[in-house]
Amino acid sequence: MSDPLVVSLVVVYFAISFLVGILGRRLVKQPEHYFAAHRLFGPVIIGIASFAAIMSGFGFVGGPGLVYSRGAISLWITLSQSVAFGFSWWIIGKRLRALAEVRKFATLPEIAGDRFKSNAVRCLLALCLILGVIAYLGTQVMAGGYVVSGLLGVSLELGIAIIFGITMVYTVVAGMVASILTDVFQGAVMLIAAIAVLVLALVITGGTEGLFTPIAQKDPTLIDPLGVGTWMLALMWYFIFAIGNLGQPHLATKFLAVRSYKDLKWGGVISGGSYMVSSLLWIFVGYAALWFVVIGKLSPLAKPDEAATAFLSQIPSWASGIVYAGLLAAIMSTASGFISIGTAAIVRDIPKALKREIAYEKQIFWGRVVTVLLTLFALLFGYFGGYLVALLGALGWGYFASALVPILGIGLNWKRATREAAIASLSIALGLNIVFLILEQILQFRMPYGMPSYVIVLLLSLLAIIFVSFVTKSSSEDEIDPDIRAAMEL
Amino acid sequence: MDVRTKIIVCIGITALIMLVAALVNAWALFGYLMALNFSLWLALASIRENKLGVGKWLALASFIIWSICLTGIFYYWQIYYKKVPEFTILGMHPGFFLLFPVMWLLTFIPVTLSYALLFSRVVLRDEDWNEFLRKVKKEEVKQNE
Repeated sequence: MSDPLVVSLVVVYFAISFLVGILGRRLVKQPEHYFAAHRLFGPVIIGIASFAAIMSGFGFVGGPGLVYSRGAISLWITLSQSVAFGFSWWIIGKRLRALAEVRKFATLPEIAGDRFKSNAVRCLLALCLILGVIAYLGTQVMAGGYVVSGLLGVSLELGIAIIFGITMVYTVVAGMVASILTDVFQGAVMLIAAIAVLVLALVITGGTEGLFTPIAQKDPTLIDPLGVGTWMLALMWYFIFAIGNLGQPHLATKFLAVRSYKDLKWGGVISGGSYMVSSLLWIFVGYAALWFVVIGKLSPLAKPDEAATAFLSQIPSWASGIVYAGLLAAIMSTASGFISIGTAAIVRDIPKALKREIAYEKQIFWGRVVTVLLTLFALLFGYFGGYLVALLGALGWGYFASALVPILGIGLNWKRATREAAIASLSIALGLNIVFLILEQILQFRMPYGMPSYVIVLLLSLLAIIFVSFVTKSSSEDEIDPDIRAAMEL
Repeated sequence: MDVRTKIIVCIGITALIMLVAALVNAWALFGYLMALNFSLWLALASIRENKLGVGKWLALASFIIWSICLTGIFYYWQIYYKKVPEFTILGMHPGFFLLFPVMWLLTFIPVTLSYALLFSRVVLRDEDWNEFLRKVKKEEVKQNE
């Protein structure tokens, strides 16, 4: 069990998260509020919630671990976010908010289905989302459980039950409203943690000069702009993490929650700026852990992912308590968003695609039931799934980006995009991601030059929606419903 | 072909060349094409009434920033490859400094900050929103009749 101060801070964090989430219930008046917090929030809440949803536990543990072991290469991921939120606001922000004005949209598959007038598009996208959500939640189960168990000195099983039990309860009660409100609190915790880490890392190491000089003496590769890896990997990461931001369902759905069109104005700057601050944690925790090892204050780490905990062992307990709370916040904020999105896809999209729509007044009830079932399924999958969890865990950012960037980025900005092109693009995204999953995870195939396969899939799915649209016609131009067309012309 | 379609085609062509560049490991070319592709997305998003308007300046500014930063990053990486650099900026490798904080901060301005600064004049003017609502209302009335 950790220092009592750390434990107290973590317990207080859990209690506030729980209360904030539960209080969201008062805002839930209709199914669209439950599934998408439809038009409920202003720019600060949306901005911080968007950043918190995108900053996952990987940013707190995996990112610094990569910096520790491979130098600057992983920075191309996190530094891309200074433009990523801008792209999302520019390319899809206005369109999605306008669509929320004219119809009670609560999910992305609903929007895609109506835009392309296709149940196949709706169904394919819903399946893509459900698969991605289960894969993501599965990977977070053990990670979240280990963090809580280590912090509170409880068993792994109880640790999982605490972190996901709290997340599940507030998501059951208030759906996406709870997810967004807790995201704001959790985002604030992450920001405080990032600033604390930056100040401490610079004070302890003697500023950037003191930090980088000993590392450069040991291995100059670790402080150059590439680090250990290939340029193709660094640039492809920058590309997919910048443009792929708009294809993350837990971000894109937030545009439906914007109260007034005027509230779009500062949301991108708030979320992009907040993420930029939290990037400092990724960078400085990784390099500071490396510095401690280089100057001999810590022995070399057995696993790169220990970089964050190694750094935390060297700073005052009040600060490590805040950072641990930030890590839990990162895991819970992303998880609750995914639970809400998966639930909405199961309750609203799949039945509608199968022409067995659930009665409007019963949707919140079924939303709550499905939230419980989906979370329990993800917990069981994460706990017992073993190899399959690691296998599906590869379906992350790139998978969502390759499915959603063409559908939203091109589909909502170009009236000539056709139904056939959307289906082709989605099929390529779903099919090729699974093919590469099998090739890379089971058959140990390695892409040349360190290329991430999901970038190739994104480029192909983009090409499909553009060029297939030139040889097909359905649901383009004049066939689009007038209100949707008006939103696309705005 | 309208402006929107032309830009979409350019996005498609750059994506195609990026794919080919990736497959032959032409990483520097991939980097510059990526900058061009980003600029095209920005141009696409800022089209109003089938005109590029201020979007072309945003796209140009962002392309120039990315191109200069990437060139500097590649240059300093190459000359100090596996060596301790002869000079540092705030203790950082000059290529690293161009990546963080220079490119990180400079690209924020035309891509992210510009959205807020141009919101009322370019992104979504009040009169455009009101016209959008009017159009939707008119269609609703037409359908009800």
